[in-house]
Amino acid sequence: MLIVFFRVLLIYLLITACLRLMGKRQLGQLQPAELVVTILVSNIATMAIEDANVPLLSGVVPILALVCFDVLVSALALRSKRVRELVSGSPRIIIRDGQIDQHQLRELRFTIDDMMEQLRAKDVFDIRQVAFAIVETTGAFSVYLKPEAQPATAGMLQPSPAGSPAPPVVVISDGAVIESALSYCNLRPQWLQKVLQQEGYQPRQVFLMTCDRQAQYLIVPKQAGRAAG
Amino acid sequence: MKRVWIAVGLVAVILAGGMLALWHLEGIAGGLQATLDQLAQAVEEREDGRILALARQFQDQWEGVEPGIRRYIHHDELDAITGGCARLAALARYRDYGELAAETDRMRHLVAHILESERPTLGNIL
Repeated sequence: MLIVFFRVLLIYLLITACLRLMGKRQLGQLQPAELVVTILVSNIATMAIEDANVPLLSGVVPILALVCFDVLVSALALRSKRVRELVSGSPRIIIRDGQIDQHQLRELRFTIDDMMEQLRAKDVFDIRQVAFAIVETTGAFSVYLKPEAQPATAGMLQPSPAGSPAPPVVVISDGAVIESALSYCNLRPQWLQKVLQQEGYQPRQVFLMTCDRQAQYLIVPKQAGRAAG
Repeated sequence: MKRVWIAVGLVAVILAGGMLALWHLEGIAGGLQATLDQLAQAVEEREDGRILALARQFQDQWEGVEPGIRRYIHHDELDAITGGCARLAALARYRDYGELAAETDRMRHLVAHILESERPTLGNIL
């Protein structure tokens, strides 16, 4: 039993390191080859953990090899469009100016039900409103609506929309000041000290503080009991 | 780019490690086969003292190398040889020459098989 425990620990550390090496995104954004690698790695890891008769190297070597091949193929795909198309395919436009490309649908083995479901997931209930609908190489569905069907934006309603172009960032997290966030907001530690003094807090008493580039801030103090730290 | 170099480095280490392991295994298998060949000859010639000494020598040799190769060879194959070692010593002690000759031959095939199955030939890969 202890052997299995230590094998799990080692395989877990290995896979964490491998995922860092791959630098992967969320599952839904994986290319087909990357999904294959992910599935294979998990199966190999299971075999290496379960069967103590199999040397750990018999699991470690294939996992490392798969991850390395994936990194190398990705690097090659970055440099060569042909390799990219070979490995990942290319995006396919299935609706153009409200017209369905039935040939592309057949090539992708996409049924009408699949297509309608994807459109509804994007809050599109009328194909005529679609300028472009694209099936990406990851299988994700992208929709670009015709201008008359697009939701109104602040820019459309007024010439110079108010509000900060950049979102607020966390400048204090659980009592710890994040200086890089302060720099991002073009603010200095002295400003932060002054604000906290005005509000009657020490940094260690603050659970969360956010701030934007307009120096508009929000302070959430720690609850009683936590604030003592 | 850093990741690419790490990947290239890892692949190089895996290939080098594999070749080193194979070279190491060839050395081990050669030594074991030599002892087994001597044992087979001693059994043919019915040299009791030499038979027992060689059987023990093989067992000691095996117990010396097995912990190292256990890291990359399936344990089932190694366990078969470990069990065979114990039989060799017992058969040598009780002078069962027929059975001893058969067991020695089986050990030779097992050792040869371990080496052969680790070679990256097309047959093994497929």
